[in-house]
Amino acid sequence: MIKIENVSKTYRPDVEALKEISIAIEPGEFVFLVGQSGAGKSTLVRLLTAEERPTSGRIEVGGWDITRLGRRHIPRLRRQIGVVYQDFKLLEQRTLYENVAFALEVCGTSLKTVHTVVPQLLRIVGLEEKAHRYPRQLSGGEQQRAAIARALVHRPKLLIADEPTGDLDSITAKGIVDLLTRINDVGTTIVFVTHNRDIVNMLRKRVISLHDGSVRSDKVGKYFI
Amino acid sequence: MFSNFYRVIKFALQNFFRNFWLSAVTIFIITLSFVTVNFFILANGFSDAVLTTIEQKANITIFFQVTAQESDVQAFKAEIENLPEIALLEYISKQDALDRFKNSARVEGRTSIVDALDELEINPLQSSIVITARTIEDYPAILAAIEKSPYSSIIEEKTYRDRQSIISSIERLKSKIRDVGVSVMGFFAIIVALIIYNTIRITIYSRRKEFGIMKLVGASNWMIRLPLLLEGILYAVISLGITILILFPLLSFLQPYTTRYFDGLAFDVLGFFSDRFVVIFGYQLTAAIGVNILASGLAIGRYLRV
Repeated sequence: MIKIENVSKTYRPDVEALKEISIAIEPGEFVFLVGQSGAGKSTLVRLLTAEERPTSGRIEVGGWDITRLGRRHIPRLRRQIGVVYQDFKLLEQRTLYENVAFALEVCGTSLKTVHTVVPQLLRIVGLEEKAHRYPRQLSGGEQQRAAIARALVHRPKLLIADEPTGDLDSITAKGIVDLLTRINDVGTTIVFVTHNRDIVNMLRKRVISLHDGSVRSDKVGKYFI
Repeated sequence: MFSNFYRVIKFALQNFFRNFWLSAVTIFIITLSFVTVNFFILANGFSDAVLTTIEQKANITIFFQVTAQESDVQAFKAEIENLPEIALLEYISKQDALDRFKNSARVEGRTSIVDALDELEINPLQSSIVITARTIEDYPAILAAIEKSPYSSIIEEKTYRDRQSIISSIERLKSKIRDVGVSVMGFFAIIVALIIYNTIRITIYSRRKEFGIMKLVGASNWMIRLPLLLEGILYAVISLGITILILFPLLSFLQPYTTRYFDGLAFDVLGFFSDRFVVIFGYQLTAAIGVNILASGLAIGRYLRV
């Protein structure tokens, strides 16, 4: 699903965020990407979503060499990757339904499909009853569920969750992890970026640990700092 | 395809109404610019009308000496009436001049003058020729031909040069009005461009989160850019619509005053705009849309990274 080969990212003048890292993630895997602040996790997420390009090396996502991807093909790549962020990135002046529908609308999906897909997704994340509420009327966990529903609108094969539980209490965080696990069960590859040890240790999954821009460890099991 | 078109319009309208006051101020300033530009177009049309009226009234009247022989006058007339520059030539004999004078005096009730003329044995009036040229530029050639004529000695007076100087003055004024008008239009085009640029820039800034999310979920660049471009066009169309709604009632109100003030000058301010509606407003709309697309495009290119 993801092939990262000898990727480096240097920010001017000489900050090396990633140093020659190589990672391969198979389709359907659930992978934790862990590390302290400044380890290079967010940089890696930005490279995977083509928000930035690596200084050197090659990244392949779903068979696409995204390091050579033209600007006009980037939207097509992003429709194949769902991304969930710590701060949810929901539009405050739109209801949950509209937030999820918006992701389909801006990509030119027909109205009929929007009306079919959005309620289905809200049902999957357990927000069917609150579809017409605004983000401010919901708890953090509910907002994150809505963000996950939005990330799933294009039925992505890959879902990147960048610190999705960072602003949530442990019980709510567990709910989000359970939801992502269920999504993984139906075949979606999950890359779960976190620095929360408890979350990682909740599941026995593959853990890739970054430290100072390099891969420190890559194994299934517990995460020790 | 239809869904995309519908959504581009929907997003443009949503932004327009969400930032209502910003949109309102933008439209207000563009409308002021349009109104000013239209008054310059009106001034230009008015100076054209003045000039045309004067040109139409222009002619050369040649008065012959009282003592001139009728045969010489006829020979002179025969010589110049074939000039290609002449559109109309009217000969007024001494008797015609006397009859016309008496008639107008009677109409005006000055019968004593008529009686006095009747008592006179001789006709004190001169014969004359009134020449109208094909165009205003033909008068100098006609005047030159008159000067060169062997019969020029029987001419007592020519009335043209005064009008020529008036025409020259008005032509100079007209060209100045046109120059100023073009400069003013250029100036306002720049102002409108800057206002649109700033409005779109503020829009991009205030909606940066929304644009970020659009990019995140895979919106194509054009789905982000087109509503902004359309919004710029919307400002132009609405502003021009308001300008027309302001202009026509205002001109209807001014119409009686302008015709009264410029007595004898056939300038219909309302007709000037209604007769040329498509041309005047079509050009303005095209120019405004062009300026808007340019300004929006620059702002999008500069501030919206997609």
